[in-house]
Amino acid sequence: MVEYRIDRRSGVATYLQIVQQTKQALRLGLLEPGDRLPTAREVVEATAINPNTVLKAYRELEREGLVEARRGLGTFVRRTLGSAPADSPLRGELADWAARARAAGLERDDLTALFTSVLDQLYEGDDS
Amino acid sequence: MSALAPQGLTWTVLRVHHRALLVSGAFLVLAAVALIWLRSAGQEAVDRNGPCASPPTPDLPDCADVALLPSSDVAGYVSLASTVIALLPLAVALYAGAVLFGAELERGTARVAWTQSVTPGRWFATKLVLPAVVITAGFSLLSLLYRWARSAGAEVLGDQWHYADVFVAMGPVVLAYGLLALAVGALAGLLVRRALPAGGIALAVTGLVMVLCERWRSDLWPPAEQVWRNSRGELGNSAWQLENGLITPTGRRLQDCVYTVTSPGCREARSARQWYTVHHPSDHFWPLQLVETGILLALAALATAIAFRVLRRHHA
Amino acid sequence: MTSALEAHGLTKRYGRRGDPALADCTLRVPAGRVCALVGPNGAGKSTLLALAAGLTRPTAGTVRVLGTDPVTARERVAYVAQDKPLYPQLTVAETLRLGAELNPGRWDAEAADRVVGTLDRAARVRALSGGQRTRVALALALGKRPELLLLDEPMADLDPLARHQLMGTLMADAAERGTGIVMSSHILSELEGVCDHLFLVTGGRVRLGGGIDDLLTAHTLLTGPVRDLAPHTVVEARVTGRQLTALVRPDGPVDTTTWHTTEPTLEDLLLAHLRSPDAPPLLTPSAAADADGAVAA
Repeated sequence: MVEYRIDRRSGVATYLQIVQQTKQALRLGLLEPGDRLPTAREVVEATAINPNTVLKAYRELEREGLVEARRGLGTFVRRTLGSAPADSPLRGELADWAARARAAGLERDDLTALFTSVLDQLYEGDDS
Repeated sequence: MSALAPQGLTWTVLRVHHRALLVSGAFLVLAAVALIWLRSAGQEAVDRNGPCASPPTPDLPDCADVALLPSSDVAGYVSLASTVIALLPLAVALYAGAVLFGAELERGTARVAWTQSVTPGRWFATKLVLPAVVITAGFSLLSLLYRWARSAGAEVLGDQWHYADVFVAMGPVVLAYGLLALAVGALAGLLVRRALPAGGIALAVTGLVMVLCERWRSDLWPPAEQVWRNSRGELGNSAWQLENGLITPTGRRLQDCVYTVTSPGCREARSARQWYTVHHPSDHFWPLQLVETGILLALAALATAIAFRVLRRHHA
Repeated sequence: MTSALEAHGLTKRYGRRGDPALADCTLRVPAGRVCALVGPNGAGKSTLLALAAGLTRPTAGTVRVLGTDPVTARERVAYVAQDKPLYPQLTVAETLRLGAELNPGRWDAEAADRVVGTLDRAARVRALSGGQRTRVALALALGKRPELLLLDEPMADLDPLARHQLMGTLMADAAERGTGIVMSSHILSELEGVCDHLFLVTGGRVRLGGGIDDLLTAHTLLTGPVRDLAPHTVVEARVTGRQLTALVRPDGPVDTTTWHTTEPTLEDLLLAHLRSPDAPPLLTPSAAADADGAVAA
C-alpha cells in the first residue's frame, strides 16, 4: 500500500503530486500489478485534501493505462513502470558506484551533480 | 427504557434545565413539609387558645407558658408562608428571563437545537409548555396546601383573605402570576437576548403587574354596600371594607366624619342618622380571583403571541 | 443540476441604520462541492452562512438551500457556528445523546463517535479545550448526516495537528457521502488544497466566485514594460521604476512578446482583489445564479 505525502508549499499541483508519487512507487516496485490503491476516502482522511483531487489523479493514472478502476472494488495497478525495482541488479551496481564515489571523497551534492550531468548527456534530444 | 421516558426535544429541555428542576422539586418538598407542620401547629394553637390563668389553677394552664409555646407564633408563620408563595412568581420571572431564554440567546446555545432538526418555533413552544406544566402543578399544590394549612388555625390568624399576599396565595391568581411571569420572561429573553437584563426586566414587569393589580384589585368586582339607620353597625372581620361614612339627611355621603363629628368640616355630619360602608364580603373572594386570573392569563397570552412574532421575525 | 446553495439579491441589515452586513449577494454553489468563503473579518461570511442555515431572515432577496428554502432543508443541513455553542453543563456523552434525540431517524451515532475520537465521554463540555469543543460541535453536525455542511471559521481555535485531523475527517465524509461543504475562513492556508470552489466576500459583497481552477485560468499575471493593458480587464497594476506588474483578466490573447505571463497562485489572486476594492466582481458561470433561475420570489 502506498501512502501519499502532500507538500502544499512545493508549487506542484496536488493531483500531480499524487500522480508522481504513484509512479515513483511503481518504479521502485512498492506497487505491483494487482495491488489496490488507497480509496479516495483513505487518502483524504490522511492528507486532508479535496476528494476531487484524488479522483482527478486516479483518472490521470487510468488514462495513462497504469491503473484501472473496478466498480465497487477500488482502483488497481495494471502494470508497473520502468525496469529498476528496488532489488534489481542495476540498483546494486549504482549503489556500489555511489559507495566508491563516497570513498573517493565526493560530497552528496557532487554525486548528484555528476549523476544529473550524465543523465542530461545520455538523454539529450529526448523530449520525455 | 420505559415508553414514558421523555424523548427528543422534551428530553433535551429537561436535561438542560435539570438543575432548576431539582432545585424547584426540593423547594416544593420542603414547602409541603413546612405547610403540613403549620397545619398541625395551627390546630394545636387553636386548642390552646382557650382560657388560661395567672397564676395557673389545676384546670387552666399558666398564661406565661401558653404565650411561650412556638405554636403561638403560628399566625406569623402562616403570614410568612403567604408572603413567600405570593412572591414566587417573581422568582419564575427572573429564571425565565435570565436562564430559560436570555442565556440561551446570549450564549448562542439556542442554535444547538435550531441547527439540529428542530425549528425555533417548536423549540420555543416546548420551552414554554414544559415549565408551564411544572408551574401549574407546583403552584396548585402549594396554594392548596396553604389553604388547607391555614384553615386549621383560622381562629388564631391575624391576616385576612383580602390581604394582598394572602389573596394571591390562596387562589388560582398565584398560578396565573406564575404563567404570566414565564411568558414575560420569554418575551424579555427574546427581545433583550442577554441573560441578566432579560431576567431583570421580566422581574420588574411582573412586579409592576403585581403592584397595579393590588392597587386596583377592589375594583375588579362591584363591591357591596351596607347602610345602617340610627345606630352605627360594624362589619364582621372577614369583610374587606373599602369605604365608610355618614349619610346626611340630604343624602350627602361624608367619608371623613365617622369618628370626628366635632371637627369644623363635619358640621353637617352632626345631623346624620345613617351610616354606610362599601365592602367586599368574603364571598366575593371567588369572583375577584376569577376576574384577576382572567386578566393575567390574557396578558400572558398576549406576551406569548408577541414573543412568537418576535421569534418569527428574527429567525426563520 | 441542483445547487447546494443559491442566493439572489440577498441582503441582511442588522438594525435600521448602518451598512448592511450582506448587500445584494447573488451566487451559486453547485452540489457536492467543497467551497471556501474567504474574506476579512466582518465581511459578511457569517451572515451568509447564518441565512443559509435558516437561523435568521434576510432583509431582502432569497436564499435557497438544496433546492428549497432553509426552513424546509433544516434536517438535511448542518451548521457549526464560529463560537461552537454547546451546553456547558452537559457531558460529551449527553451532548451526543442530544444529537440523537433532536434528529430522530437521521442520527448516525457511529459517525459522531468517530469525530469525537478519544475524548472522555464523561467529561463536561465546560471542562473541554477549544479544540475539543470543536470536535464535539463537528460531531453533532456530522452525526445528523447532512447533505450540506455549513462551517463558520471551523478551525480557528485548533492546533495544526488537530486541524489536519479534522479536515481529514471532513474530507473523508465528503468523499464517502458526497456531502457538500461550505466553510468560511480568513486564513487562506487553511483552505488551500481542501476546497475546489471559492467565494471572496468583502464589505458584504461577493467579489470573486467559482471553481478555483476556473478562477485561476481566468486571470494572468503580467510583468513587463509599462503599456496600455486594454482590452484586458485590470484587477491590479503596480509600477516599479520602468516595470509593470499586473493581474489581468485577459480578453483575447495576451501579447507574450511584450509581457512575461504566468498563471497566478490562489494567494496572488486573493491578495490582488483585496488590495483593489474597485476591481469588477467576477463569477464564473457555475457560480452565477441564473437570473431566470428556479428561484421563486
